[in-house]
Amino acid sequence: MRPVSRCLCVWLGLTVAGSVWAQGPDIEGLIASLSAPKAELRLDAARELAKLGAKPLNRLLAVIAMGEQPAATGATVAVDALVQNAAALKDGEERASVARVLVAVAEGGTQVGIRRYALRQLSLVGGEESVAPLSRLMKDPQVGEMARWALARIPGRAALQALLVALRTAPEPMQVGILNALGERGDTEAVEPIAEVMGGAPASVRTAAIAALGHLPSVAAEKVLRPLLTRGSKAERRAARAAYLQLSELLLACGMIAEAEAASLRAYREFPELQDRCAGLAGYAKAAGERAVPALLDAIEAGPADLRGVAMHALVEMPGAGVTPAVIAAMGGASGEAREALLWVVGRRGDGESSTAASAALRSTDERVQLAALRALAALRDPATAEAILAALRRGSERVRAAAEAALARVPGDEATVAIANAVATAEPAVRVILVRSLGLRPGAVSAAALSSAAGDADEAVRMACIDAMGRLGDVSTIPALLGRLDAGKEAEWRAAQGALTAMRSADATEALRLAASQGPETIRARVIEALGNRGDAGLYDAFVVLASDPSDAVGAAALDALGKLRDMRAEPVLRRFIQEGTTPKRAAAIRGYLQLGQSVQQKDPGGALAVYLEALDLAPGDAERRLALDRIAEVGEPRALPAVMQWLEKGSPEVAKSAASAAIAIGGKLAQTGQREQAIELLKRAVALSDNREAVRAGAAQLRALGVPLELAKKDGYITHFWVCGPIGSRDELTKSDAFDPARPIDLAVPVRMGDVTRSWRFAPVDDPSGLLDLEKAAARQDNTGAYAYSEITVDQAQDVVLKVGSDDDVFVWVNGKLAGKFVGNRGWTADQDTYEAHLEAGRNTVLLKVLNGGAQWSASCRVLTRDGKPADFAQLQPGEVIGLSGLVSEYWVAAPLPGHDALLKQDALDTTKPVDTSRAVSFGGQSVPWRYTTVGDASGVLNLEAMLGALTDVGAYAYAEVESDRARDVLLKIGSDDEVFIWLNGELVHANETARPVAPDQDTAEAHLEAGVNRVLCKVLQQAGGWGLVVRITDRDGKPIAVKQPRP
Amino acid sequence: METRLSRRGFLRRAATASAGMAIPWIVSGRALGADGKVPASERVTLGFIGTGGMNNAHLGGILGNPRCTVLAVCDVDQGRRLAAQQRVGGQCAAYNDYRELLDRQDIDAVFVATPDHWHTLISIDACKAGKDIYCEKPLTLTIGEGKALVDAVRRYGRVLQTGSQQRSSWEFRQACELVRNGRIGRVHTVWTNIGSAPGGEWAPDEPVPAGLDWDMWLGPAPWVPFNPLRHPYSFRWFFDYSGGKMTDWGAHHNDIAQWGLGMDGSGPEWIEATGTFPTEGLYDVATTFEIHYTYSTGQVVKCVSSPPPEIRFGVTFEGTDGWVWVTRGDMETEPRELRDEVFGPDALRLEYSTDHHGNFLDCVQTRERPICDVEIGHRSVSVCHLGNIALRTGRKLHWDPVREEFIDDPEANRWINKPYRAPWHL
Repeated sequence: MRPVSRCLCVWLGLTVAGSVWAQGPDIEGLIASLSAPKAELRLDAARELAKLGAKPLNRLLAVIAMGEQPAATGATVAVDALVQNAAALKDGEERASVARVLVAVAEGGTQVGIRRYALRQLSLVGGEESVAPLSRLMKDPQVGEMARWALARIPGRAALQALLVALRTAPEPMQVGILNALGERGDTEAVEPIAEVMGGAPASVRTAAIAALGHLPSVAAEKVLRPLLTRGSKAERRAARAAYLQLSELLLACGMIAEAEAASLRAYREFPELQDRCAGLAGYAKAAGERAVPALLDAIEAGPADLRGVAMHALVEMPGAGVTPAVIAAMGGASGEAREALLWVVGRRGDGESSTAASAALRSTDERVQLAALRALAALRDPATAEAILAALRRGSERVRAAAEAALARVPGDEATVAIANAVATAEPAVRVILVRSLGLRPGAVSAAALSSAAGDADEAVRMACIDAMGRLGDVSTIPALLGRLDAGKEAEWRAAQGALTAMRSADATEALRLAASQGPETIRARVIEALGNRGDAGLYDAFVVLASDPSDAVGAAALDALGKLRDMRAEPVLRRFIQEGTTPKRAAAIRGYLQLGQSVQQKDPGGALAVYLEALDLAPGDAERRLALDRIAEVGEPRALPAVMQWLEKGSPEVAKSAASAAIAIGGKLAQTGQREQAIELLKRAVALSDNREAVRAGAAQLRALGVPLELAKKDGYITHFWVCGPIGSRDELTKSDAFDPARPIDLAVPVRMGDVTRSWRFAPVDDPSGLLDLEKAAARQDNTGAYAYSEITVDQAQDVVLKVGSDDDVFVWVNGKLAGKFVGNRGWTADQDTYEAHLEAGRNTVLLKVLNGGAQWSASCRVLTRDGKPADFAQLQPGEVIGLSGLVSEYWVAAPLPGHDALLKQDALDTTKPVDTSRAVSFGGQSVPWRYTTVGDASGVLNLEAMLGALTDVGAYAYAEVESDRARDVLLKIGSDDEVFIWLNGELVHANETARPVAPDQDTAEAHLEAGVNRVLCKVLQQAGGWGLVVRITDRDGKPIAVKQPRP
Repeated sequence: METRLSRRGFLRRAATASAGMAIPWIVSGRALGADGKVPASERVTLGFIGTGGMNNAHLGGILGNPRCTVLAVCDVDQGRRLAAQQRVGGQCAAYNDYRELLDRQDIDAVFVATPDHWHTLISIDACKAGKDIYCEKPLTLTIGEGKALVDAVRRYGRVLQTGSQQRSSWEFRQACELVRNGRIGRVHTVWTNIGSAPGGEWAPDEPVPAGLDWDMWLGPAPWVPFNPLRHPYSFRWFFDYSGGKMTDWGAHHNDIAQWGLGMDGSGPEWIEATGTFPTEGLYDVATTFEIHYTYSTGQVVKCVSSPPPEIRFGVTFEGTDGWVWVTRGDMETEPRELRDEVFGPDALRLEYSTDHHGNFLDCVQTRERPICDVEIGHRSVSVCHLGNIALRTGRKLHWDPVREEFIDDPEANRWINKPYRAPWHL
């Protein structure tokens, strides 16, 4: 229930006691319907009430004033429509009736809100009869501004007069509003009264008066404003200039051309601010027409750029036969920038001698002028200019050639096409490339013939451009030329020709290609069939079936591949037949085709697809097909395929074993999801070691990490794989020359780093990539022109000299134990081991700090530590638990999430919290089953950020389980922070609960608890309503001093 | 002698910029150094007015752009203002009053992304201060504001880019070029499906939150007490500040309809509308609607919130020989092969841009008109305003797109402008 306003307004009383209009029950019924629960009923009621004119208006306004929802809003809808209906009526009396009611409410109401509302409506429907009451109401301190607002909108002399009368005596704020209204109305009768009121008025009134004068198109207004341009306060002079400029435009629009011209010219010549002079010039050009051309040309020549821009546009838009000749004449003596601007104008005017002038400008030795001329010619699109453009193309720089090509692309017509075609034969190769590209945009026999002829060019780049152009053109007459390229020596070339043929889909082209597939050299036939197969055109099915039986293995195999690409299940028996009976090449192609059929059903029927893949794996004649089959099996990732995959993992050739390993990784992931953890771990470890698919290996390593088996793949090769990253911070420029902190000093990972106004914390970023790549786009952010620090500590048994092999994208600086070991400054893509630096490691702990800067796009680094004889150094790395655990923070968790149903989880649990947690078994709740995932907290604050881990979710919950070792039994404090509600069990006993929705922060709650000697079980349930989601748990002694937390590795 | 003289001259480049050219592979005119850097003195300096969602998104694309530097931010909400200042970092200044930002001589251009009712006044003041403007759509609150804004931009020779970034996307340009080149025959109907608006939300008025300058937030709009539904995001559902879904998504898709029909610089002649308004809560813009715009060519644009099922969100051009449907990131055609057509020199080519920010920055330097110039932004949003006026008046309206007024309808003409609360004025 919404709050009710109990104000019984005087006018409401009048309405009830003795209203002018009889209110029948239908009105009351409709008004009652405005409170109906259903929106449709309320809307219907509002519509019906709107049709009744003034009759229900009082009642409706009363309902609005009461403010009860939903009736008040429905009444507003009704009144809005009612007023509009009245406004549109030719019946003046009905309209006046509505206006009268609104006036009565505006005058007689005691509630300010409804009075203002009535005035708003009056602005849309009020007429002359409303002016007097509105004039009176302007004096009302509560609604005066709204009355003025309404009066401003009412047309006619009466309203104007009322405003003028009020202007003389109104207090300052109202005077300002009235002046604004007079300006909005634009009636020149207001000039004198406005000028009168300015004398001795406060600053706000004077400024408003000046602004209003700018809207009143009259010579009188100009006379008042002119002296104000140089008199008065700075604000008044500025306002006067703006008003003067506006006025000069209005004078022109009203036909006072001479006055407008004089005013604009004055502004252009005398106003101090550049933007005002621009306005003056623009106004002068409009008023004076061609007479302004010399001034415009001067502005183009002398600048500055803003004035030049104004002049450019003014010349383009200026009518008159003399403009273009004047512009062209000015080009001769113009400076470089000015000439460019004049060419721009010429290109856009497009009349008279524009094309000739622009073509002539191509002969300039100034490249910028040439480019401007080409842009102009592109805008002009005159076929007669093709030769001139071609000449520029032949002799120009690379930039000029690019612009010439762009211009040719805009010049239409056969004349231009012929010129281009004729130019091909005698041009140098780089130009020929451009010419054939241009022909590719110009359909027709001329282009087709020229391209066919050029297809055999001695220059490879020309041939390739030709092929591409023929593909774009799609002209059937070029097919013979393209067929001729199918036996080109280089694969890139015949593939391009093949692609061009694929793109030709007309019936004629298809027929020509079908013919070419059935006769001629077998290599070409096979490639034609491949081109047809790439179309995926089911209409070619029968043709492919016939060609599959061709005596030529190459042709038959191509046809079988093409059948597979159709993904038409009709092909299954055909493919099977060739799998069983075909020659080796045909069997291989049939297997490939068969795999395609499997892919076509994979989404709807993964089991069926898997059956196809397993069969194909079994029957594949060679390693290539086996690898394909294993790749498809990896996509499905079903444990059912494991025996077959294991067979090839163990017994296949090295190449096949690699594919089998990738498939095994996918299957391992599925095993983990179904709770078969040990099996998954064993399989993943083996598969990751064998696979050569980098993405699969990273996925496998990530899955192992989630199963509690972090695998630092690159470590064995000496790469540092544990970094703490701080970034993005600063800009590339700044960090090239300076640092956010002193790299020579020890770094405290618990202390955020500040550079300028940006502060960043250190976050743990393990390297899962087998190549040792630290991806800073993931670890820091996707951001260009910035930098990040990556810090690591490595421990060695003995002091030793080492070699660091560093790779980076882009710049990198490397410090070892605070000393700069080396740097690279510049743009480059990452590869491993790009730089080599020498360094010395002390026995024990050593620090390695990288500063990696990013120009744009990829951002990454790697660092490998080798002994002096090139072998991977043996070192231990700082563990996240060592960093965070020192401050008592729990950093290693098993997480089972997300579980559905915040409210349900608030009341009940998804597992037996009194018993030890078996992380190999998934947690089931609300119809979902969620496996446990192992995770390490990367943030030095210790917050387990579930939102970052799982996404922005609402109405869910999570369990987070950790094991903490204690050397003895002891009483402790648990310091807990959470978002939102949290429950904590220690060794099966509930020790803390807080059912509060809140953002996470450290140490929000304190709970007394007891640790046993040995391993202690900490189980947390964290619920999520909306927004952020996280948990932080810290263990201290009973005095609050942090205990160094030791957590056993899983 | 004004200091701005030397600054603007310094920014001028030998431009073979792509502004105004429908050619995909034109050479950039930016004179970058060998290492791709732009000297600090040649970067366009920017101020950001309004630091809510949209300008934060723009900042994401501008920060780190070597062609420009952000010098100042402005917002009447202190929390947002300071957050933006911190995000920019460095020497970025922060203002409550945009006029102080515009007074700075060292700022070349501003990004305006305030609630709609402020767009015009700030943009016009920016013109008077000699700044170029990137102003978010919808460009204006009323048709009258649009006319005043076009006049001001032209008067002062400013560059104004409307934030209708769809015009810098391949799929929208391709769709409009297909249509303009007759590839689907004669277009008879264009559907713009823009979805419906919410209604029914209600909250009581509250004291003004600390740090929010409510009077300044209201600006030229009528005074009302603070309500959390008005600020920050939901201002768009109040007719005093915006135009509801019509100017929210309608400004995007009706803009494309105009582009495809070749009606930039013009508009429809007849407008008919049906719709519903909320009957509870505080929002007062139409929730559902169907508006038919008939152009002088006989072509009809149907702007709808709840279309027939086959009409997808986005713009659908229906012609005698096929159709084109386009939305952000996707496009379909019938016939299918039209989709990837490459146009030759005989075809009509539309203005070309692949980077809306970049196009704006190019034009700041070359002084050419950007792809969504002020006139285009004004005409496109006027289509939306016309629809809202037809909804409000409840009758068929006859519009003169040349004079930009309703024909023989003084009552409807009262909707062309909304008076400003004193002391604000255009």
